[in-house]
Amino acid sequence: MKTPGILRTIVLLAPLAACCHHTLAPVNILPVPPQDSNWEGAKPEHLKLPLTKTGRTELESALRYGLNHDNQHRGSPVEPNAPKAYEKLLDLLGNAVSLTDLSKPDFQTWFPGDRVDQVVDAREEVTPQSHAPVALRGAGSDGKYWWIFYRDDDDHLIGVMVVKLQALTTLVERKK
Amino acid sequence: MHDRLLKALLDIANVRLVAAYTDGGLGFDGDSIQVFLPDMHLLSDQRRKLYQYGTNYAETLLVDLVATLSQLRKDARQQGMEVNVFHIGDYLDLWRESLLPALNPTVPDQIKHSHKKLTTLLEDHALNTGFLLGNHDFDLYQFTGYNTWERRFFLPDDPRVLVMHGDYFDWIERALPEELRDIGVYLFGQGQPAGDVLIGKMRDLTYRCNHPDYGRFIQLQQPAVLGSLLPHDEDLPATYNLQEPGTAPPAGVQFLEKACGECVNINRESGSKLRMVIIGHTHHARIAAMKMPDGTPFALVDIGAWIENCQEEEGGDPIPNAQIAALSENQMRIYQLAPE
Repeated sequence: MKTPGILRTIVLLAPLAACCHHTLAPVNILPVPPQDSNWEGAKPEHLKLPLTKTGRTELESALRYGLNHDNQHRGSPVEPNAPKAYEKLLDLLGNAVSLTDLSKPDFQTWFPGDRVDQVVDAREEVTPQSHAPVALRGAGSDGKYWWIFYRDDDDHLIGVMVVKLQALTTLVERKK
Repeated sequence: MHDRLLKALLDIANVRLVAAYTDGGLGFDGDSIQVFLPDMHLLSDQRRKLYQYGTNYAETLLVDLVATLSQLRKDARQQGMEVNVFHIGDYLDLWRESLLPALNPTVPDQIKHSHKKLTTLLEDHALNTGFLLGNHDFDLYQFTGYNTWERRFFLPDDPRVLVMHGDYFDWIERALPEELRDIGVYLFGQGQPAGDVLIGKMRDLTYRCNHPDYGRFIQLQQPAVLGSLLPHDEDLPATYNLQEPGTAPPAGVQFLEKACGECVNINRESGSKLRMVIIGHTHHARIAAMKMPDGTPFALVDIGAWIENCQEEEGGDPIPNAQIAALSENQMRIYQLAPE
């Protein structure tokens, strides 16, 4: 027997409608995405802070090509203006910076809110229990990138890695 | 590199020129060639039966083409030259495969299972295809394995060319200007990638433009009129079959003024130097050209499709769309391929 179209539609949409009112708890762990969505590749090789001239050039390239070496090899940038757009942040990272500095107004312009204190990187042999890296969602690039800062025992920032993370949210369908 | 590509294509296909365009300001030398593959709309064998149109030559010429590009890239690299391949979007047709929003990550695999040779070659890391998301495969962005696929590329390193799927121009006709402002800044501007909010807006617009019945056609109710196709054995001219305002039929210059206007605005506001936009989406291969207000040449290159049909003149014999575009030495060419 042929199912009437309207009935079929209701049955198929029912699971979506049923889940619309659920609220998800916020996620407070940031998994470092596999190597296709970060610049470093298979082994952790964080850019050292304070940024050297070479490190800055590398970070500019990473942002310019959307953290994707394939784009670089193809000569097809996705954010060609990145060196200019991030100029002031990269200037700041060229100086000695501590974790507390990230809360100061100069940095808050770049990292206005979201912070995750648990960064899980499967490439690391050990996950540090203290002075662990922290991840801040960047205001640049439309919030697409998280900046992971690595620190020493005195909370001086000693390294940085930018990652591109798919949204940790559930798709919410428009209300019918 | 154009000659080299043409020679390789002639080994597998009958090749005719659809259009050619040369602009010395594009910034491409002869050490590389950028090859653009248009809309394919791949479907699983099971779903294909429900529609009038499927991918043309999906198991034959298209497979040979991608294999040829792969070999050409390998050979060229040994001589210090580059063959860069791009897919313009609407590679997998999620909409026709799954009528509801494609939230099931197995949907792309269902499609690829029916086209193993083609998809394996095209997604082979050695080919390093730069994939764009189109409207029919927009939802791929939420699945692992596709999160590096983009919505636009700039070319070359000092960009003069914007490559995008082209459905943005549909949105202009159907959405309010304020809905599109941020999206236009993202697509044409070189400042930033798209964040979650912007992707959500684009997804809404994409769904709004999804039409209810793809049973008989996707884009073309009638075959696209390309004009006279030039056989490969004639000397290929630097400029051929340009569609220009005032002389071309409306379909030949569709989206030209809008694309040019967006580039003029963004160039003025941000200092960029865009002078060519490459799209797919319409399934109508053509190169449309006009001048920017300051006299800079501008071209909209629509690279065609591998689905639905074209014809040389109104009422002519239908020819399966099977086009490929290539840019090297500041010259863009679109070829129509057919089995030998």
